[in-house]
Amino acid sequence: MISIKNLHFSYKRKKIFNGLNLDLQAGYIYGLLGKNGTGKSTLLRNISGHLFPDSGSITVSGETPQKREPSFLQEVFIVAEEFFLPNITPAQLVKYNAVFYPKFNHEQFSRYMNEFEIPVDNTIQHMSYGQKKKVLISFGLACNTSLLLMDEPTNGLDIMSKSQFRKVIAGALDEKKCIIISTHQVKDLENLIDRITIIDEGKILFDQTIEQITQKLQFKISFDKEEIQQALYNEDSLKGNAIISKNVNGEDTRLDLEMLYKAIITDRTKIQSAFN
Amino acid sequence: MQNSFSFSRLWLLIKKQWFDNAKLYTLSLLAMAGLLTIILTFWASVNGSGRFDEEDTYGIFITLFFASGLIFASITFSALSDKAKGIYWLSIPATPLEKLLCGFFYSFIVFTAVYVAIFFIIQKIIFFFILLDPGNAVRYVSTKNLKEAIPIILYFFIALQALFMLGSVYFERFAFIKTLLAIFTIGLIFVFFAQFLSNTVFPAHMGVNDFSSFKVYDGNEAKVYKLPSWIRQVAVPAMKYIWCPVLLTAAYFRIKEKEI
Repeated sequence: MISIKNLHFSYKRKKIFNGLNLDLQAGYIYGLLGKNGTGKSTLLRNISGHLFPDSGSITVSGETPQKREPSFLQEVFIVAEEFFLPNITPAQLVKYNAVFYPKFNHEQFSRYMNEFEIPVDNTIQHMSYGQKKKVLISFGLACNTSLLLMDEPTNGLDIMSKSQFRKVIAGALDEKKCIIISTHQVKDLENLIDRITIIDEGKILFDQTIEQITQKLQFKISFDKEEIQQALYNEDSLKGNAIISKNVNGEDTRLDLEMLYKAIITDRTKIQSAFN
Repeated sequence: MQNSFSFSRLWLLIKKQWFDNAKLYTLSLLAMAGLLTIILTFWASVNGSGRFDEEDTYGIFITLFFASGLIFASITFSALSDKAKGIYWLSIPATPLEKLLCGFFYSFIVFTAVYVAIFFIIQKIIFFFILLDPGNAVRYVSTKNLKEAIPIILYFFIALQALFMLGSVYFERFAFIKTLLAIFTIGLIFVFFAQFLSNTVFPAHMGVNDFSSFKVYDGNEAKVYKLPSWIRQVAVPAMKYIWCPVLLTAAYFRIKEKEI
C-alpha cells in the first residue's frame, strides 16, 4: 500500500531522512516509534503529501502524495498532533466535510462519539483539547479512508480516553485499511499495533511485526544472575530484573513495548541479533 | 474520482468555507456596516450648508472598498501560514484550482456584492434622513459618469485583490503589510528602470502619447512616430485584463507547491 524508496528529506540544512526505505501493507496497524525530533511527524507529512521529498519516491496505493489529487486526499486522513477544527458543532462538521469522503459512515461517527462520550451539540471551540481530539479521531475513523495517519493521537487524552482510543482503533481496522500511529508514548500502543517501526536520526532502527517479536524474544522478570547476564537487555525493577532474552524455547510471554523500545534505542544490534 | 476541475466539488467547497467561517464573515459584515454608518453619518452631520454631494459618498465608498477589500484578500489563504490550519485546508479533497477559485469567490465576488449592497442601503438611509429636512438638498451623480467609472474601478480592484491574494499565499505573517511593501518596492524599481531607459535608450526630449505613438522634440519641431495601431489595441486590453489571471496563476502554483 505504501512504498517509500530511498527517501531523502531535509529542513533547510537539517537532514532528516537519508535514503529511507519502508513498505507498509493494508490490514495492519503500524506503530511508528521514536524519540522527539527523530522525523516521525515529518515522515507522516511526507506520506500525506503535506511535505515533499527532496529525492526518492513515496507511493500510496499507486498515487503520488505530492500531487495532492482529490482521489488521493479522499483516501487519506491525518490526525495531526497540532490540529485545527472550525468553530462549529460536530454535526455541522460532518454535514459540510463528510461529502468529500465517499466512504464516510454517519452511523460509525455517532458510535465513536458515543464511545468517547462527546456531546454532539456543543460547538468544537467550547470543548477541551482532549474532546476536540476525540472529535477529530472519530471523524477520521468514520471517513473510512484506506490510510489513516495519526500523529501522537493519545497526547492530551486522559487514562479512560486512551483505553477507549485503543478499543475504537482496534475495532476500526479491516483488511483494506492501513493505520499508522506515530508516538513517543510507547505504552499507549500496547496490545494495539501489529508492527513496530522505530525511527532514530532519520533511519529505521527496527521494523518487525509483533508476531515475529514474540516468537524471537521473551520478556520476563528474572532473579537468575546468569540469565540476567546473558539477556539482550536488562533493567532493574522493584520486582527483580526485567529482561529481554532470545526466545529459544518458543515460550509465550507478554510483550513489553516500552522495554523493547529502550533496548533498541540503547543497543539495537543485540536485539537485532535475535532476528538474524 | 475526478481529479480535474469539478463544479460540484467547487460548490461543496464554497458551502464548507461559508459554514467554517460563518461567524467571522457575519462579524466582519456587521463591522463593515457599522463603520460605513459611522463615517456616512459623520459626513452628513459636519455638512453645515444643507447641500449634499452624492459624489462625496463615493470617495468614502472607494476608500473603504479598497482598504477593506485588500485586507480581506490578504487573509484569503492565511490558513497556510498556520501549521494546524494549513494541514486541515490542504487535506480537503479538492484540487488547488478549486481551492483558489473558492478563495477568489469570497474575496472578490462575495465581498464586492456584500460591500456594494451594504453601502447603498446605508447611503439611501442617510439620504432619507438628510431629506427629512426641507432645507436640505442632495446633488446626485449622473448615472453616465457612474457607468464610466465602475469598470475602471473594478479592473483596478480585481488586479489588486489578486495581488493581495498572492501575498496571502507567499507571506506567512503580516501578509497585508508585506504585500504593500512589495508593491512599493516593485513600483520604485519600475520607476528607476523607466528612468534609466529614458536616459540611456530613448532619445532626449521624448514624450509618449499612448502605446502606439510618441513624439521627439527637436528645437521648435516635434516629430511624431507612429507604431502600428494593433500595438495599442493589444497593449491596452492586456494592461487592463492580464494582471488578475497572471497573479492568480502564480497563486495557483504557490498553493500547489505549498509544504506544511
